[in-house]
Amino acid sequence: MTVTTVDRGEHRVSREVRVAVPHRRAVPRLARQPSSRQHRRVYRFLRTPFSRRAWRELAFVWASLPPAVFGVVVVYGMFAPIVPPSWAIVVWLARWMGSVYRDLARRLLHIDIAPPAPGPQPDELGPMGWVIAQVRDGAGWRAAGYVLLRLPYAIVMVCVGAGLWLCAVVGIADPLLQWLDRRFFPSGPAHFGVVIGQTTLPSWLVVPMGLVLLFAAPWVVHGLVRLDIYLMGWLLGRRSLRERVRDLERSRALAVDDAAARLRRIERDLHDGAQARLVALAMDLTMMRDRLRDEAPDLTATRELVDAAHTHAKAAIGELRNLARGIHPPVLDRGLSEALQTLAARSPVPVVVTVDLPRRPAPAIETIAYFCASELVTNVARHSGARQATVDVVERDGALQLRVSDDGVGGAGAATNSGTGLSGLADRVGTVDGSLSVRSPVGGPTVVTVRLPWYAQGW
Amino acid sequence: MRIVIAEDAAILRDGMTALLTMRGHEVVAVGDADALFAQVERERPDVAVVDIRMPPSFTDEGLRAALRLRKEFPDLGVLLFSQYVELRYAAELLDGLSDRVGYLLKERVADIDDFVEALDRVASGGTALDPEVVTQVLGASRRREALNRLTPREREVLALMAEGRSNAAIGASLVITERAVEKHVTNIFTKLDLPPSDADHRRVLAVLRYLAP
Repeated sequence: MTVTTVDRGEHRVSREVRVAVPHRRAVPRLARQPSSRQHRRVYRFLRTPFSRRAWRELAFVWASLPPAVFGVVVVYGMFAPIVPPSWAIVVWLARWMGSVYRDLARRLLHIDIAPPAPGPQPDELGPMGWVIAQVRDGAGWRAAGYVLLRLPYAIVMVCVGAGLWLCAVVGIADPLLQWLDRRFFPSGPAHFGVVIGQTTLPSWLVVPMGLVLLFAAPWVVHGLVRLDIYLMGWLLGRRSLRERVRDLERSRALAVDDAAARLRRIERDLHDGAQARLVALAMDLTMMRDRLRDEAPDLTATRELVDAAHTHAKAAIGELRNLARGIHPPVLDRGLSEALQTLAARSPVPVVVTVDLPRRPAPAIETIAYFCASELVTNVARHSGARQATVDVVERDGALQLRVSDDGVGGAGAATNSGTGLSGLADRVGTVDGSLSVRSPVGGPTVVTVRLPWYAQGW
Repeated sequence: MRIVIAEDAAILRDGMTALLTMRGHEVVAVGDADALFAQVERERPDVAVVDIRMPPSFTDEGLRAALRLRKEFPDLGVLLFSQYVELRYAAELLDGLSDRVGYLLKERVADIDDFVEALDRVASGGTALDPEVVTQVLGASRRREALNRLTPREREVLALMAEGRSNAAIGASLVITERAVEKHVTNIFTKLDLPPSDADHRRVLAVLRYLAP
């Protein structure tokens, strides 16, 4: 599900919060029969406390408590003195904390919150420039607000959410507690059990209360978590039009650089490849002509020259063909599916290609998707040691999603920032406002997901 | 002739070495500017053929090497060798001195007779500019009116002159007598109001200066 706001004017302001599709496995097939709709509802209600989502959300509530404490103590406690340099550190740290929270949400809740655009670049060098840039960073200040707000909210979440769960468990376990009480403390006041005033409530009252709480707790936690997600989207996501403009400026710069780099590469390839080969061919022909001018030409040497000329001509043709394919693979005219099948056929690692798109994307998008797939499949063959790879292209949340996964050694994520092919791909995808994410734990498997809009001009 | 070739692409380097060796020249080939200087120092060749693009940055290392060679070894002929014609490079290379210097497109090696002749010319104190350089200079020139006063044949002679060819070579190329060439040259110099010059390479400079945009 994508939460997308589109305003009808010139600008499209988009995506604050993106929610991954929940696991369908939650509902077993048996319950899907149309006749048992009522059943299904009851069943779903009954299993709520035991659903994955409930446990994930509870885990999130607990897991976000330490960063909340850490955030306020470190971010504010250590750098609170009211002078601009310390503000800068607060803002900078808060931005980092924001990424911690977004990461938690992604891992535990499967909810992607698009990070805000990078902050403004320092106008001047040196520490002062950095301080000014941080202080001007609106997204950083919003993150700082979130970090501050998050501690009380985390306490509320833990007390209310986790507290309800605890009450539910205690309520249901009441008979056991009472039994324990009688077993170990036969006389004297009650040690375990639910007590109001001086009266220990009877189990027949407490157990139903516990059950009610058991079914209420997940919903309360759910509500609290939703509110937090909303807060995150608001304070930790990307928001202002100015940020959007900065994004666009960045992606335009990327597009321009990318185009220039590509032209330069083509020129270099021509220069070092086909052009040089053709000159070599011409030289061979010249030497041949020289030899044949002799009264008694040395035929062996001449034959060697003919062979060399032939080799050079063939190499030039091959290089021109590769170059042309690099500029625009002709098979792409027949659609992404066919192009990717061709790509898979050329790969030394077996690749299974699945393309399931309701309609054809814009040509520019197809081209980018194809080159991403090409680069990623090449990476699989070159670095991963995988025995099998898959390329899936589907529509997801109104965008084109290309996913290349392999069963190789992993560890590709660390390379994203080190000027490798992956960061180049991310830049290229960025030119059309797409995104690229890499999940590649050491030991594998590696999954690279590329999301592209249907049209190059925006979502 | 003793020739040092600096060219990073192995196929061209080997091809040229084979071609020139076949023509009876002594050839040493290197792949970058540092090796070029070392070889020139050691071999003291008659002429160095220098590719413009060489490692490490593949931009204009060759040009800078050529300029340094011209300064440090005034007796050495330097032929700059390139896939493209870049007028700015030609201008920098000539920079007031048109002797023992050349600038040719790589594809000219295919016409080995012309190429060797150009090398000879550069080695023996002359100039060898690629016809493409001359075409571009003529195309960019502001002296359009003056040029229009020349007859087509005179323009041909002017172009060959700008390449650095001698009257004899121009005559051979256009299949006319040397005497006829001399007459054309005199006419050209009169029409363009240029001071006559004796050496072929000085005449190149005069023409280029005149045409310079």
